[in-house]
Amino acid sequence: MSAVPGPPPIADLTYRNYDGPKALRPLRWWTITRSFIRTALRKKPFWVIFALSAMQWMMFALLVFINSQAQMLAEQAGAEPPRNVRLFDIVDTFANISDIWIWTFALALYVGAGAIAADNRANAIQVYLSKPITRSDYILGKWAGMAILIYAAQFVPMLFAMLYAALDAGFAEFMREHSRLLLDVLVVPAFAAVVHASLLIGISAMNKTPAIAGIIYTGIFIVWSALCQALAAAPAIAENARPTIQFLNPRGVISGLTFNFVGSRGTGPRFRELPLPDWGPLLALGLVLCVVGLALAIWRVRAVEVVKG
Amino acid sequence: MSLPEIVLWYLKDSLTSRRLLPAALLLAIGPAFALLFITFGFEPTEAYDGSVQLGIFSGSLLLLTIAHAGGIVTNEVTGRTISFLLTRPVPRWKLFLGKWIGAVTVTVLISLGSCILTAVICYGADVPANMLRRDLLVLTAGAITYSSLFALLSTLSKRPWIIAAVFAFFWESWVAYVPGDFRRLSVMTYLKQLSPHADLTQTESAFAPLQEAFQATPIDPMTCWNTLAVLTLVSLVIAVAIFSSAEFLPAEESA
Amino acid sequence: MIELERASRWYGQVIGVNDVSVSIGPGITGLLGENGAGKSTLIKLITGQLKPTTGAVRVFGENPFANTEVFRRLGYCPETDSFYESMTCEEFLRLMVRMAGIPKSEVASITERNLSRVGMLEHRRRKLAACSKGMRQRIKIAQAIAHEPELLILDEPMNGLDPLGRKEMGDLLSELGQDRTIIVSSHILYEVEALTRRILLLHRGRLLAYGDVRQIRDLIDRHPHKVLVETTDRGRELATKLIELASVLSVRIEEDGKRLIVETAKPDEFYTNLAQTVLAHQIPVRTFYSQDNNLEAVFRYLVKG
Repeated sequence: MSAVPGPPPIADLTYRNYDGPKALRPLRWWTITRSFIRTALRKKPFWVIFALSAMQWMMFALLVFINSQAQMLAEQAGAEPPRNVRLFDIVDTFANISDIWIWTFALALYVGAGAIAADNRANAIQVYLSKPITRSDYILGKWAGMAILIYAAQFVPMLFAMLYAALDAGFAEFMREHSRLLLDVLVVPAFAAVVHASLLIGISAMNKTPAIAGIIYTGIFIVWSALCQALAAAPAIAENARPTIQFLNPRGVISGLTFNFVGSRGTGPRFRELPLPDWGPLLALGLVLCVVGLALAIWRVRAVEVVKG
Repeated sequence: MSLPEIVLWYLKDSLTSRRLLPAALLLAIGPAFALLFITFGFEPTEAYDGSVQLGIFSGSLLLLTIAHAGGIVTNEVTGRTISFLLTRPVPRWKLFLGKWIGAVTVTVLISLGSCILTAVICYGADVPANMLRRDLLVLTAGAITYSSLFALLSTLSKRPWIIAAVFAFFWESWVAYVPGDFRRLSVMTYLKQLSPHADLTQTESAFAPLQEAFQATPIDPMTCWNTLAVLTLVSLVIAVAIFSSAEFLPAEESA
Repeated sequence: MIELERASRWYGQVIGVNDVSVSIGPGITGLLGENGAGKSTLIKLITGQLKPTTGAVRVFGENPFANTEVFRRLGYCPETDSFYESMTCEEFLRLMVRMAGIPKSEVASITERNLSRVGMLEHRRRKLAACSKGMRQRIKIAQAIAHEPELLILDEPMNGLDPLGRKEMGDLLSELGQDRTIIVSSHILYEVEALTRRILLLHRGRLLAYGDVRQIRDLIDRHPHKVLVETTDRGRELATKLIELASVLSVRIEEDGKRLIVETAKPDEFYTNLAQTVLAHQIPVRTFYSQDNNLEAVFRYLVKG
């Protein structure tokens, strides 16, 4: 009879993540996402920032209203042949209003700065990762929660503003004339959602304090943007590179991709026409930022607490 | 415990390794801007103006005041250490002012250091002394004023840094484009008036026609100093009054 | 020393402490109650961190809210496990000692003495972030007692301590309680019972009882006492004798036939009768004790009705 080898006399003290069956549900990360979203939706400041964010799209509706009033007055004046006196081009205005970044940024800070930092401080990651979910589930869950909230906070008011514009102009006519705008409404919010969520998750994972994570992200977002704005005007920069250089930062990636996708830089009437930035570099930088953010999160999220003393 | 001891405690806490790296990065923003601007062909004067305005006044100064002054009370509340402070025989006003002075000192030291380095990078040994002196003075004034405002926010909100960031990076720049005297509601207006720097970004701005259309009338320096002083004093008095009389409980218990 | 006069504290629509009137004097008082009973709110009212919504709180005859004169004579160990994590144990304690108003020249010696007092002297240079929960608890207690306050308020002080730590801390508190007022909150009854017999019992924000646990027990004597009597193999015989006594309400024989659970409404009379009975019938009794005389029973009875 051969002896069955027993456990080694010295215990294996290396750390392992949960290694049991993971049959909890097919989309394990969704559990984290759902909980993240629910927690955010329960907080009053979220709705305050959401309301502020929605206000810019109320402004869009107001401009559409001014347009229709101007048209009506022109028609009443009996201009022959009927002139199109619309003061604001709907696509330009859409691009312009989309470029108001502050509320989306504030909302991203509010929901994202503490996404992992708060768990770091409370040592909650150990609790999460002791359940049948993997580190990837955890990170993806948090990322998706953030991205969905940021996306929805732009998409919902944007959709209502667009519906208002469509109803104001006559639904069928608007759809015929601006069918592309529907796609814009669907896609444009995704740029900010993906960039903010990816970068914030990395920075949040690096910190134990949501405030510090938020301030670091603010610094990166603002200072980098200011630097690019200035560099775009530098004598050594070629004239044709200036419009793109200006956008080579997280804030610029969001705006630049939006402008490119919409096909307008949002220039108002009688304002100087500005050229669109190049797609390629912006998309490449956007991808790099997302990969770096997620890589930082993967690097820092660990199921063990490491203390130094 | 005396006021200087509280200030020293704050300063010592700011020198921990955990905080030194962010401080060094913030210190480096202005000089890094200057190096890049010179590399990309700006004249020293332009490089200095751009670096000081974009990198320090609108960058590190604001970030430092948000991080330090904005955390005077909030960090204790969210860190749940507030109970230790508020059950000691140290008057609350002294605690608040001690931490505020500490926050201002750190902000001023880093901002001034950054400004001096920027000037040296741009001008070498021929730094225009008057201009540098003026910028250092105005930076100090800016640090004091913003610190007072954000310290007040710290007594009012659990997340003052979000409100402060929106104020500093949205309101302060957006209000400059509003026609009329509305811009007087921005602290940065007074700082820019006292320490004017050429705006490197203006050439590509879509707002340029607006700015040209609404040329603002200059504000005289005395008005600027008085406004900054009044703003500082009022914010501080309100903040001290709130901190002395309000209840501050560790974050999760106050719900 | 501490007086609450119809003090209530609301958090919005949630009540923390409800119409509590009590006067707490020198010695150790155990503040008892289940989680959420209002213990921490009461402590925050006494330590001047909260103002009562209605009523009044007085400590040393003064309103304690933000009152430095009160804080000079008060030591407080909060429940939360939070510190300035980047400090070492010694740095933190020095800061707290200095903040308590100790002259600079004495800070070092007092810090060292108190680190030693809580058994943390050898870990003095360890960062608080790297300390175990038990070590952190000791440091929290050290900062509360370091300036020798007349009034010491300890919110869940035994949390995180191992059995030996609990014993040491219990001894330290008993020693400190000899010449000062101490309030110890806990929801673990035997811990408090080991320190003091004077309790203040809170339930859902209301004061249920305050005083000596035995006196409280006497007052609720209408509720039958349970006394366990352990004999040899003559359990049934003893049961028949005891059931005849007027002071006994019921007798239950445990499965082993040796242990009896006697229910009595008149415990003093029963103990006298029990002695007479066992002597008269020469029935050996190994041990007897009341299951209801401890804090757990008082707590259970008052809280559960």
